[in-house]
Amino acid sequence: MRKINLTWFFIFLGLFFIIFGLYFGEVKILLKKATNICLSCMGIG
Amino acid sequence: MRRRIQFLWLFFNNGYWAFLGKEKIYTGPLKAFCAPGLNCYSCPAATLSCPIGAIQHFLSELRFNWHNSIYVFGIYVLGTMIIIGAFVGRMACGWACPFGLLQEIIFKLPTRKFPLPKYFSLFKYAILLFFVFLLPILIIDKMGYGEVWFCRYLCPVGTLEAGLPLLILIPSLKQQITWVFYHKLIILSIFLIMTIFFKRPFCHILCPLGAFYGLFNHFSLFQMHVDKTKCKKCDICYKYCPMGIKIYENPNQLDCLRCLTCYNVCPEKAISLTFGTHHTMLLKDKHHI
Repeated sequence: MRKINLTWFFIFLGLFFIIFGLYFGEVKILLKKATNICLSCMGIG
Repeated sequence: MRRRIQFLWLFFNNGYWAFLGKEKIYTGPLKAFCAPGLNCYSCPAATLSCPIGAIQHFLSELRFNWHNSIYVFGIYVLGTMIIIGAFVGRMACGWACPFGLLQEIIFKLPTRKFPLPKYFSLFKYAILLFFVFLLPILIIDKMGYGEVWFCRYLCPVGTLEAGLPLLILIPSLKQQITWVFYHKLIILSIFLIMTIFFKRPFCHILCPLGAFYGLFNHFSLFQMHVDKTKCKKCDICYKYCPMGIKIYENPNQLDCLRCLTCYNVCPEKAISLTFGTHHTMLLKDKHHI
């Protein structure tokens, strides 16, 4: 029973995070970051 | 079937081939979604965002001051990772990670193979905690910004998928190369050489995304079960497992990729799969997945 509750707790937590992330405009920030070349990610600069 | 899905994800994750003519990376709306596997979003062909890179970028830009505060934690990215983990655990590593696919292909080279010590697996949890979550927040420069520690200093995927192709595509970037690039090139080379002799060494030792998903293996909706009355511990599952684990010791252990190879090769049909809280059989009649 405990196992089941933990599963659903994390599913709802994930959904909660996604909804609030959308509400706070994180997707726009993510789009801005991910559509630019990240020199650090490449190990350059 | 798994190999086909791995290739499908590889081409979907890296499906923007117009970069060859335009000399710039994909900037479309798909980048708003996180890739299930580790796939650098600076790769010129990448269509999705890397969750590990994205979360570090968010955390590195957290600023707790009065004048110019930024309190965006990256909970959208974290939520996506939690949802994937809570549904299928580490299955994304076995089915949708391009670097995992590359390692499995290289491992097929006919040489002598060796097992990796079990305690090596613990290292990736330290990487997840320090390089992904703590260091980007705690160590900041004069401007108040942190760094993407894992991407910058450790991630061989970024070097392979983004660094090398973009250096070929945009030669002017060569002027910006520092020691970090050579350091990462060495890490990439070490892991590619290790891959010839060891099963998926990057996934075992370094991958923070695999470490994160693995934490959910015990209580994800998708579960694996071993019928101990049927299992004869013949170790065929161990022989074929891409991570070299013994599924009968613990069917939902942290390093299991849920690739279902063991399920397919078990001669005793001792492994079963369930999805959902009612523990109903997912596939009653065995057929190859």
